[in-house]
This record gives sequence, structure tokens and C-alpha cells, in this order.
Amino acid sequence: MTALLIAALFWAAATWLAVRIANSPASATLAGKLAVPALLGVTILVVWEGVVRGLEVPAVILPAPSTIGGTFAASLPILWGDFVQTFVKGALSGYVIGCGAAFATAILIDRSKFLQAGLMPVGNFLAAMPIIGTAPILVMWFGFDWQSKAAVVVLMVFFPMLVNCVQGLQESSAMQRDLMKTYSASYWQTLLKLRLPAAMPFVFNGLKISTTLALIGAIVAEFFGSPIKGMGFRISTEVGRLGLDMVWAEITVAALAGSAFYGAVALIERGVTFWHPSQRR
Amino acid sequence: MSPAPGIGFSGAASVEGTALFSGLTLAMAPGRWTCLLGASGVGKTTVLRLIAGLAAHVDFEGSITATDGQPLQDRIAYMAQSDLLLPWLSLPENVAIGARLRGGRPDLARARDLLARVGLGDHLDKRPAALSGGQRQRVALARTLMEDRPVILLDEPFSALDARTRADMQDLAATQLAGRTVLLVTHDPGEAARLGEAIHVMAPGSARSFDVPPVPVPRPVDHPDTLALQGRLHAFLRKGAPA
Repeated sequence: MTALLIAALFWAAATWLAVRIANSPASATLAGKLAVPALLGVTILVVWEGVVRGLEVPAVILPAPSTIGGTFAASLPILWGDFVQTFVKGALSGYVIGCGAAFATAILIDRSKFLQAGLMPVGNFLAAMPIIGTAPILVMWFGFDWQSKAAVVVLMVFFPMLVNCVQGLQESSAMQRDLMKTYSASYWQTLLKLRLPAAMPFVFNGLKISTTLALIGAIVAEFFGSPIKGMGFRISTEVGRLGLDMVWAEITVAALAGSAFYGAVALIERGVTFWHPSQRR
Repeated sequence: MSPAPGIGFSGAASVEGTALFSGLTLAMAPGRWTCLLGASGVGKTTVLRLIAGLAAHVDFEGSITATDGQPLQDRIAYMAQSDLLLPWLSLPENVAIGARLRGGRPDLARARDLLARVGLGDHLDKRPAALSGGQRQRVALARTLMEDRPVILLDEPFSALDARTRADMQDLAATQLAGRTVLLVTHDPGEAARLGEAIHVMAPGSARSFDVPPVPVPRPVDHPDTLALQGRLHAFLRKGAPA
């Protein structure tokens, strides 16, 4: 019961502190802006720890953050190996191939009405296929290693990226294109100097959506066959062994990697589309 | 800049069999401002796009010729109601966009000179988003001047501006575009009365030209001749009958 009491006290103290910070001049500074969300995160962890200990929740239902942290620290080499296998080899290479292919396809589609009529439905069809059906097939085709995971990721990211790129290429107005024409600009110059820059906010929307899809795809694909490493493999086997602390540790890795991936793409976006109203602050 | 040619336009245009205009004849004198005035939808912009060689989405039968017999292509600069500035480029880069689009080296020093000539010398480091609507149209005018073409087509370039800024821009354009053959498409009788050295009013199916007072353009906004002409143009636009 002491643990519960400590958790409740901490919650009350943190709430009081957060209100103080929010109402003080410090809330305008960067440190002040970061302090309140950080306090929220710490409070959630402390209350979680207190509730798990105080109510003696079984580790299979919910391990305490300290247990997860301990497992995380003790299995760093395993987690790192899983991260490289799933994120770097599977998700990242699939992301690059899938988004690159979608971008190239969008430019082809944009050049020809015929391809637009033919390829968009194909893209749509690929996106509508359920991953739990396609993943085992792709594992049969491309083997157990990361290549099949990358293939699943390609399937997952291709369509959202394609739709965004095609939309983006239509973003420049007809009048802007007329103006380019009076400057004797060719198709490729107009594409490079006007339409691709104008398309970038849309392209980056596709890239951002695809970051999380890529990670989910790579993890889920490992459920259908993988070498004895990888985040999805670890999660499915540890669930079978009731090693829920390890599952939580993998979830932590996935959350950290996914957030960092999204953040990195968003950072690049801010540099590239600094001129767009959505980036004004 | 090569000497400004005059332009002759005559012909008929139809959209899917329905005549937009027919038997329309316009003569644009070399180095002069010609105004094409009319209500929305009578085909003014279509005439301008046909001369500019842009897709007009009409069936056109007739001829568009320069008085010196040379082709008009690559001798035309175009300025529209919307400034069409590229938000990711600085002002001098926007002004020099033509060279970039042709794969050449932009002459940024000349672009900065032109920006100073249109009164934006203090804003050279800004991007378009930091400017007001009137300032953005000034940049568009500088971009039009940058191409140094003898024929300038203006498609309601000042109609989105407030009255004062519009008058300022009209003065500036009249000064900066002196000596070029200018076709100004507008729905504003006041604008035509200030700037037109020849004024054609387009009504559905036909065009009528108006005599202009001998006051040099840009005519003062409050000159009795300007106001009288503006009144006659306005009355004609409303009735569609000879004033």
C-alpha cells in the first residue's frame, strides 16, 4: 500500500508543479515548454510503477517500468541485433525502395493519361491486399531473411506514397504552367523548377505516413517466418514464453525507432518546404 | 530589345460549336497601350491567350500577325492577375526565373536593378510571403520587365489591388512599359480610361472601339477627360448599346 500512496503523492506534487510552471514566465522559454510534457511522462512511469507494486499486478499482465528497464538494459545486444535486422535491413530498405518506386511511378503517371488510368487502380489493388495474406506469400518468394520483409514494406508504403506524389504534381496551378510556357520552359525544366518543389509538401506527407507503415510492416511480416532474430520474431516467441518484459522492451525499441524515424523525416521536411504555410511559426 | 511590332488580330472563336466571338478585328499599334475592355465571359482572356500562344480551349479561325511579318513567338511577356511568384525563391530569383527555366545562368544583378526600379530596393532579401499584394504585383512586373520582350500581354494584372495601390501600379506599369506594344485586358472602365491609347470594348459577338482624349497615358485619375471616358465606357458596358 505504501507504493500506491507514494504514487498518489507524486501525482499530486507533479500536478501542482506543472500548473506552477505553466503559469510562470518560464512557460515561454524552451526549457519551460519541455518541462511540462517531460513531467507528464515521468508521472505516468511513477504511477505505473506504484500501481503495479502496490496492487501486486502479475508480470504477465503488466510488468513494472523498472522490470522492463532492467530487461532492456540486460538485453541490449539482443535488442540491437533485432533493431538492425528489422528496422535497418527490413523497414528502411523497403521504405527507400517503395517510396522511390512510387515517386518514379508518379512522374510516369503524370506524363501519360494512359498510365494514370492503368497504374492507379493497380496501386490501389496492391494497397487493398491484406498484409496477413501477402506476407506469407512474400516470405515464400523472397526467403526468411530481411528481403521478404522489405518486400512487404514496399507493398505497404507504395500506394500512400503514390497517391500523395500524384496529388502533389497537380499542385502547381494551370496559370503558373502557362507562365512557364511563355518563358519557353520545357516539360523537364517546368517539372524540376516548378512542379517538384510545389509537390514537396505532399511528397513529405507520403514519406511521413510511410515511416510508421514501414515499421509496422517489417515487424508483422516477421510473424510469418524469419531467422532467429528480429523485433517481430522476438515479440512472437517471447509472447509464447510469457516473457512479457522482453515484449515490452521490444515495443519500447519500436516506439523509439518509429518516433526518431518520423522526427528525422519531419526535420528534413522543415528544411525543404520552409516556404509552405504549414511550416510557418 | 528588338523594335516593338504592331499586332493584327482577326477571326472567330467557338467552343464546341457555340460562337464565343466572330468577325472580331483588333489592331494593336506598335509601342502603344491597347485596352480590351469587357464583362467577364465575353472572351477577352481568350483573345489574349490566343496571341500568347497558350492553350485557349477554343476552336479559332482567323489570323494573328505582327506588322513586321516576323513570328510573335518568344517576343511576348505575360503578366496575370495572380502574381504567380514561387514561394521558395527569393525576390531576385523570382524575377530571374525565366533564365533558370531555360537552363541558363540567372542575371541576379539585373534582377535586383529591376526590383529597385519598381520600388522594392529595400526588400531584396525577402521572400514573396513577406510582401503585401501590391508589392507582389510589383515583383511580377519586374519579372515581366526582366524578359525584355517587345510585346507585353497583361491579363487584369491590377484587379485584385486596392484603389490606391492599383493607381500606383498603373502609373508604374505605364512608365516602365513605355515603348512596348501592350495589350491590357481589363473589366475596369476606369483602368481602360487611364491607360488606353486605343480602347476596344468587347460585347457578346462583337467589339467596338472608343475614341480616346489626347491626354498622354497614364491619364490622371481626376482629369475631366478621363472621367468622361470612364463614364461612357461604363455606361456602354452596362447597356451593351452605343453610348
